[in-house]
Amino acid sequence: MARVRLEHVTKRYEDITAVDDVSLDIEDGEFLCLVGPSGCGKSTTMETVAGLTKPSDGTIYIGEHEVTNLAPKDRGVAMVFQNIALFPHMNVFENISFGLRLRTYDDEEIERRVTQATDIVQLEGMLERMPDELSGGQRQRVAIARAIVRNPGVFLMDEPLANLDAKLRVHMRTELQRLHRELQTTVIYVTHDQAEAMTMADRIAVLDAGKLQQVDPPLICYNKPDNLFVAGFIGSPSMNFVEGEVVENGLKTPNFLVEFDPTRVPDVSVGQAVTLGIRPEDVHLAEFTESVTQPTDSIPARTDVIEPMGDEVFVYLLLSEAVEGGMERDPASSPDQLLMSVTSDTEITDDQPIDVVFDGTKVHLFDTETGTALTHGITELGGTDDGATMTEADG
Amino acid sequence: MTPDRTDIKTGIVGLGNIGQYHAERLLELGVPLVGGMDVAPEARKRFTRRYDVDVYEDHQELYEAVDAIIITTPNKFHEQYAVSAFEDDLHVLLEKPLAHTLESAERIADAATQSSGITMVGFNNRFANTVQIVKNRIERGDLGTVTHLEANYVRRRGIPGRGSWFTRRAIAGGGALIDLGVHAIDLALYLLGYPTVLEVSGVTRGEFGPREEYAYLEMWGSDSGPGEFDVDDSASAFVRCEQNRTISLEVAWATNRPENHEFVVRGTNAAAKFDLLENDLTFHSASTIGPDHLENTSIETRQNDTHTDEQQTFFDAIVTEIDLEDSVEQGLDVQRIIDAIYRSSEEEQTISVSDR
Repeated sequence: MARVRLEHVTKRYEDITAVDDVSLDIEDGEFLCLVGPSGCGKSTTMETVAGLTKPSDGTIYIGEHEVTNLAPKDRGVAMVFQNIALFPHMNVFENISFGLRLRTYDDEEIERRVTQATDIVQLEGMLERMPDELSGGQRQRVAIARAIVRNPGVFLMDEPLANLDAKLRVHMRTELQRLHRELQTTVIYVTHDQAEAMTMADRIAVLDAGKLQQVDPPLICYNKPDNLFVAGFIGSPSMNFVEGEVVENGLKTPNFLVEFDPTRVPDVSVGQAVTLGIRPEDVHLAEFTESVTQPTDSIPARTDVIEPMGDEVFVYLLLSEAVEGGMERDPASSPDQLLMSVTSDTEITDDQPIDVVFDGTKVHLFDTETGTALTHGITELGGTDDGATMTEADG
Repeated sequence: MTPDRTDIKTGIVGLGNIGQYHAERLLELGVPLVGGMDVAPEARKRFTRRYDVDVYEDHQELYEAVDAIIITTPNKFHEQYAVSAFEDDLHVLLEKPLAHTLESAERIADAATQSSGITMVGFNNRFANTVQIVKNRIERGDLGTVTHLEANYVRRRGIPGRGSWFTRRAIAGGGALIDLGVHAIDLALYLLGYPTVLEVSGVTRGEFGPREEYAYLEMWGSDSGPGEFDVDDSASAFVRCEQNRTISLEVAWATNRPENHEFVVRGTNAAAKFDLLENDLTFHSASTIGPDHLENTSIETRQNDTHTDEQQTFFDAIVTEIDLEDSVEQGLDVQRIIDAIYRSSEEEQTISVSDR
């Protein structure tokens, strides 16, 4: 087990900076997910820890030791990748114990470690099987068991579940969490799948364009994203964004006004371009306002497409009066559209006028220009409901 | 315990496409692949991600961990890794050609004699089932004395990645002749029983690689244009061996001719004709038994993976301690002919290769 520290790690290739001044302090036993879109630098960051990539700048520590220039095998890490090639003519036991046998551990020790590892990944009773008799998930478990028997201080996993089908992936997520709980080993886990990160990680490190955007527990990233990128990346479906301008009594967007007292939001001034963010589950039908903690004023809309997902229903809303039954529906990019998520027992049909409200405690404001979060929740900042005067706005 | 190939710790030097190709076959054979070495970090990364083994930047570290190595680096770097492996008495499977130049090949051959390990040059095409059938038939005398070999290794438009090491003389040592000709020359000499070569006359051409307009359907690797192409893309040669036994050679990455990998082995009793790509083999003879007639016997056989069989031979030799001493010497013979063809083309004359 080991603490892992990255200090100002940068990796430059000829024309791009893949990792840009990333510092991370990963606690002993922590499960940290590096997450971001493809090309964000998450794999490269992990590779600098693995020793597969030498950083152009910066220092890496594993435990008490600086490992920046050590070979992978000397770092006490074990890696799990997708698609690891197993020996087709060796059975599960032989595949798992392969590395130990090379290092000439005695038979008893090999037996002990393999048994322990196969217990953990639930491959008991399959030790005699050949790789071609295994399912994709079982093969991946062999790969993980191979890593476990090495007794590493740190597990490095780069999209280890990416090649599995959706159902198996969800199942393996749970298994990996259980594995982590049992072994208490530090895990650095790379994924582009924010749902995977949300469900497994103690903390998530969100990367974009080589830069660290936020490092926090999953729910903090979800509820208090530091910037527009994190807000948009974490959560599925994505947060709705509506660009607007700060006016004396709130934020004015092309189709609605959300009232609050701008003077009570730090770093906000009248005339500033601000983007409102609201998650689909925080958009509510106005008729159920009583169940919303701090509803905003109601916003007239029209239902467009209805997508029943089972326990919830996605409702695409058109905000502009001019748009009726339009075909475009990309809530992230159009100021005229919003995605609302309601429970499946809600009676709602397409192409109907409805009024919606936002849960004011869940309204996020971001500086449109820099993307930086300004506030999460506007109700305590004073809307018309709590009697704040509009004329005092903007000092 | 009888040792078998599953006990031979093996590493790969050079983790590009050919290195991975070998790695896949090691897995198939159950040979313990324990590590890989490459100077390029990207190649090391790709390799360890796929095979979950240790990767090294320094070959010496790999050599300390293995019994055998497979060298699959660009030709120019064969010597440094091979000689170092010989010094450590490792078993070495060295991809063809032996080296990028004759001088380097000679140094490799010289160093190999000092090693107690098994050394084998990777002439994989010898292991094709069709070739093995022909070889065995020749040895049984079915063809009589083999007098002439037509050896064709001709692609129509198949220059490997212009701008890759293959098309740079400084690294590859040549173009189509050293890349493909090496197979054709080895097969011809192998079927002739590696006779003494007397003289070589040949021409090499660089006709298509240097063109801005190069039409192709497929390319092995990517195309960075004619800028980095300074090698030959076709060669024709005539090789005279002792007792007037001869080889006519046609080799091309690119030429205006349909693709052709045909070998015709002409003996005093019969001929064998096979195509390396098609897996077909025919024996041709004539007879006066009854009315005069010509006989064409078509052979069907399984198509095999020549690299797998090559590896198997290598590891079997290690296990049974059978020395493959001819292998390097024959690799050197092939290199001498390649060198002579390049010289013949440059000097516009026949080159004598008998005085070795």
